[in-house]
Amino acid sequence: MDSDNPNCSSSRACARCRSYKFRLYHPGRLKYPLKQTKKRGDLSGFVRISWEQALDEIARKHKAITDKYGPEAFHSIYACGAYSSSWQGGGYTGIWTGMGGSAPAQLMGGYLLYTDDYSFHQKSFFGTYYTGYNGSSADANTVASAVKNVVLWGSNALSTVNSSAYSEIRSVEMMKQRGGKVWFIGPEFVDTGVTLADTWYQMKPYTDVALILGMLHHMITNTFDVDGNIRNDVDKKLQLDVNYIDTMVYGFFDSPEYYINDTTREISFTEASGYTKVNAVPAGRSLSAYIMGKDDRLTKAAYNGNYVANQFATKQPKRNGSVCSYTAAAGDATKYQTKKDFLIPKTPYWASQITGIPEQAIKDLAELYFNPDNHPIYSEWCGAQQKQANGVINMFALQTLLILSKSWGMTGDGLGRAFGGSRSSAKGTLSVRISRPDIPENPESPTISCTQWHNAIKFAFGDQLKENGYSAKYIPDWNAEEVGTGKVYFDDGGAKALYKWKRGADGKVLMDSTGKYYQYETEADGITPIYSGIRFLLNTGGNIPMNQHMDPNDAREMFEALYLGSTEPDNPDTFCMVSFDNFLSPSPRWSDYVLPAATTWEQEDIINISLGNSLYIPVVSNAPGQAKSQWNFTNDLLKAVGKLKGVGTELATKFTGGIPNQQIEDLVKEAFGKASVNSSSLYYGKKWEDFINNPYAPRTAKEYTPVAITKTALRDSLDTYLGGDMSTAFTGKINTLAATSNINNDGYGDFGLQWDDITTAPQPSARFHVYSDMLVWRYEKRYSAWHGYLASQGLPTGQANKDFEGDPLVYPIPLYYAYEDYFNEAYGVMNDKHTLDMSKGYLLTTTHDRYRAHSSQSENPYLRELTHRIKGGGLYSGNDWNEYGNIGAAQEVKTGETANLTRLNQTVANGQPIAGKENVASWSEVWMNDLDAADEGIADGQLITIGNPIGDVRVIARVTDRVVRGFIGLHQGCWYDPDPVDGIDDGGCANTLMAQRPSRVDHGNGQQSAMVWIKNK
Amino acid sequence: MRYAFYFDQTRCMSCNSCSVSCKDWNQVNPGPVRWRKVATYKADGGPIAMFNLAMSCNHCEEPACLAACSQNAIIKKDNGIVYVDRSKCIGLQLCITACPFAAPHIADDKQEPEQKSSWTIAHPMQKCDMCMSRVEKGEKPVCVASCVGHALDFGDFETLKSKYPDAVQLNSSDFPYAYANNTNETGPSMLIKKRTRTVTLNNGN
Repeated sequence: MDSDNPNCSSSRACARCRSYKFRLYHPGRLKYPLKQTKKRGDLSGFVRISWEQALDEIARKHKAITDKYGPEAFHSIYACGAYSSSWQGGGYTGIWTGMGGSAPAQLMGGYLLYTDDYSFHQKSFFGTYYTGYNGSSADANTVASAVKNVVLWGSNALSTVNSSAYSEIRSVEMMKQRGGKVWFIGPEFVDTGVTLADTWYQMKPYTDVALILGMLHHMITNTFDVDGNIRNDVDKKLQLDVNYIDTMVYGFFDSPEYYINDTTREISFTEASGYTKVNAVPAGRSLSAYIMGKDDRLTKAAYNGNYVANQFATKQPKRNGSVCSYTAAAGDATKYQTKKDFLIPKTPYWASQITGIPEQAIKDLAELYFNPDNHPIYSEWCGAQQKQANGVINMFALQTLLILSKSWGMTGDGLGRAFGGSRSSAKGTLSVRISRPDIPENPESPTISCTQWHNAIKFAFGDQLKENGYSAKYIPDWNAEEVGTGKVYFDDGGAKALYKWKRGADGKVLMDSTGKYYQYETEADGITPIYSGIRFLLNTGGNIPMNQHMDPNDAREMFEALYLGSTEPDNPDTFCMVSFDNFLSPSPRWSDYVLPAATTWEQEDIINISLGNSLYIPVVSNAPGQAKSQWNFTNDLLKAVGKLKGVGTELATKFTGGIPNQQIEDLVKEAFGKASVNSSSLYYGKKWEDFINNPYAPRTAKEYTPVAITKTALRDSLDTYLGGDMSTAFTGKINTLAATSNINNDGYGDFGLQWDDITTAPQPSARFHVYSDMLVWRYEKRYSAWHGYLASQGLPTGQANKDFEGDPLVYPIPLYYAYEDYFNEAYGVMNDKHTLDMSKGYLLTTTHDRYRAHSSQSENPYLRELTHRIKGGGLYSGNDWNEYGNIGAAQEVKTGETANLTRLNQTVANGQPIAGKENVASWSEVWMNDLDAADEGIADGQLITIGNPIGDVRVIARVTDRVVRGFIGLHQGCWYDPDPVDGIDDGGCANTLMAQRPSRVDHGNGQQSAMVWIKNK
Repeated sequence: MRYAFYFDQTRCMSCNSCSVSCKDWNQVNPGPVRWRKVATYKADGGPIAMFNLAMSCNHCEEPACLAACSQNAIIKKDNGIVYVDRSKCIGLQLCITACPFAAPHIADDKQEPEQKSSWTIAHPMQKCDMCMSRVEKGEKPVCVASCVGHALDFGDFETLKSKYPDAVQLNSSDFPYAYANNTNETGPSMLIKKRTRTVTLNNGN
């Protein structure tokens, strides 16, 4: 036991693995291939077919579609619940990953790729590419021995990163023994907060940016008096370091256009060789101008005191050229709160009204960050903080705060997620590899956001959707009239780049004669492009289509308005979705074909235990019925595809490493054979039986080693510079911003972007950026090289940077985008479809609890009882064991019969327990503030309906003091289960409440943003 | 020898690994009966519910359940473990009212669908037996072995006391919320490192 060591990572299983028995032997397990024969989603329409028939029809459908529409019409959708490890090929999302490449998909002729994921879309997109922020992440040693303050920005790490939970608990314990403190900011005081925090800042959701702006306002007014003079009546430690900001930060104050010497950092105002042009931050456009609103003190503050300021002063004597100059096209009539706020000073009082945090507490938090005595400060961002409508901006604002408060360049001063322990390097790990030398490259095509698959289907099938009555009513900010082939909802995340591309012999897409646009294939008329979009969707072990993406009501309407693909396997013009899964969870339910998959425990694999060794897991339990491992499913599908292509088993053999039907065990045995005769191996002299009985070679935790606080070279030289007279240029620089340097790359985090013209791209300033014209430029130019057809028609290319009033959606600074605006947009107020009484609405987020892995194990009774209750019941009162999700019966039906099943939950109907099931019929809990519940007259355990224009769910109120007022928390991952009569989701799927509208800038999943109204109680 | 549990209230993150592994190991089906429960209480001047307690049967020195049972179905072993001989239980449920901690449980037909031939009633009392079969093999109870936060420990009462000098024996003045039925003094074999840290809301103003 190494439990005193903060690096301890015990790899102790959490409640999910402890519950696995009830998953493996669940009566709802899929056992046989099923084919939909009626209408997508109709549980009575599934008929059992043989694997042979299923694979033959799927291969034919794939061939028909890709022959006509190109490989880009085939997409393997993001699937977090993949059974196969990264070891089998692909990334952490398994063999069929659509991120970066997949051997079997490439063997099938290629497919459309996606970037980023549903966990960290906004963070991955923004990275530190736009600000250059360079704080460090911290490990357990650092937190235990060096960090003085840990600020948890909503962190849920103890729940979401089980493997490092103890390490985090222990390192914080040691930090506190040194007098350190933990601060938690967020609407829901999750278990991580309870366990670790000393202070809970009770912040409303989606208001992080307002909080940060209020903090910065406090620092500005601590620093400058109303006449723009530096104050002498405030401790310097509680002021901004203005010389530092001038030297190292671009865009906090207004600044003139200039040229910077690439080596000496000297500033010139005329173009010259060896200099890079840095754009002006126009008068009233800088972050500080926005923060101060109509307060004019910074327009009176002289630019002086250091080299950069003195240079700027020759062009612009005052720090800000004007008060805030952002304006609304509609003037005072604007419907956007964000724009009404332009001229409002973003005072701590203003921030307190928005965030719910008292004014003084905002000032205290500002001083915590800015006082050097409190550093190192480790800030932990969390998934939910970025998975919001304005999540990218949250990341931008947080980095801005850390840049301005100098929370970088020193050990422990930085930004990261869970700070787990580290382990010693693996000794004697059995190294098993598979070599697949003959995998063809994926044909070049655009790479879309992983969240835009639904838009890509709409792009391909718009006319068919319209013809079949698709109304778009669950996307209130879109209109049925705008539905049509070649059209997309919301501009656009890559979906409107999905034409059939014209490729040369090398697979590269050809450019047109202008060199600006890629060439596309056309219909016989030579003009009309072939709209590929997505027409064949492979969903291997995931629940994105109908559960884990926003707005399953819309997906349902879309899938049901598309002709069934399984009735005509050779028809290239009908959509087809194939799911390979354990259960008939929502996404398989709305699929054309459903294939039964083995669970992790029923197939061999090599997995990496987080913070542990890689581990070979043999089959420990036999899969039910005809369920297959992912490896064998893939092998068999490639055989079916190869047969149609006339290449026999060649594709399959390439997948299994050149040996037909090679199994993972064969590879492990081969590796073990080598290790057992290698005297330096842990397995030297061992027998296979010894290994297989105990395949886990545990690592020991690294010893705890206190960390010395040191500065980076840049920080060190900067501090020396700031201690001097600052009369000459500081030569240090922030490395070229990745947002600029990767502009010609398709690299990860870069969305496979292609530009029609890069010569207009803004250049980095060699300083940190808290103003990013690059963010705006890239938004407007994204995918433009793929928009040749649009250009030929005189239509706009790239992405329109326009809101409902014609003002920008994306600004260069971290504005506080008021959440009211998002709901007015997403719920159809801005386009006059709905009106909303926001005074009665509750803000809702959907954090992860420990009792599902996303939506996996939503069926598991041991876990359901921890999060579900019966009507009027107390904690842990739910018990629909053997009655929930027991739709395995759909596959046992004999020929000529149909199953009479309408839904997942067979204990509820019409929003109530079925007679006789009162003691077992269960609904998911929502967390609701005790004072709000009292006002609403809602008791703990009461069944209520909450909803909005996107959808409604029935849930049970858990009345608690651990959430802020005006807030409801519905934990993510329950399965969508709409009542057949009223359509209300009894499953409690949080996404039923989430609008399709993508998150700002990145077109990601704003799945933590909803307003709901209590509709029935 | 007197076996006991140790619980570090400052480390428990209420993850329920203990309570679920308990059900799994002891083959308690899904349903309301859980031998070990995790709950969060508002106490000790804390402004919100934030005091976690993971507790099962406390294997008391003077078990109230044992004293109340007229059928001698409850037995305390020399090593301190208190267990129930389910074949002797006739369902009087005197133990249930006697136990301060609500540790004895009765299942319903759904959770316990089959009556064993040795039982005289459909649902005799059941409760934590400290994983007797594991302990006899020198292993720790499954809840202790599965505790992700290293908040649980197990061993001889006196040994645990010296290993964890900060810990106190479970008592009704420090932990009133642990006492579901009554506060009778039963000598629980349960040591707790008490959480004293509460949380400040905002900046306390």
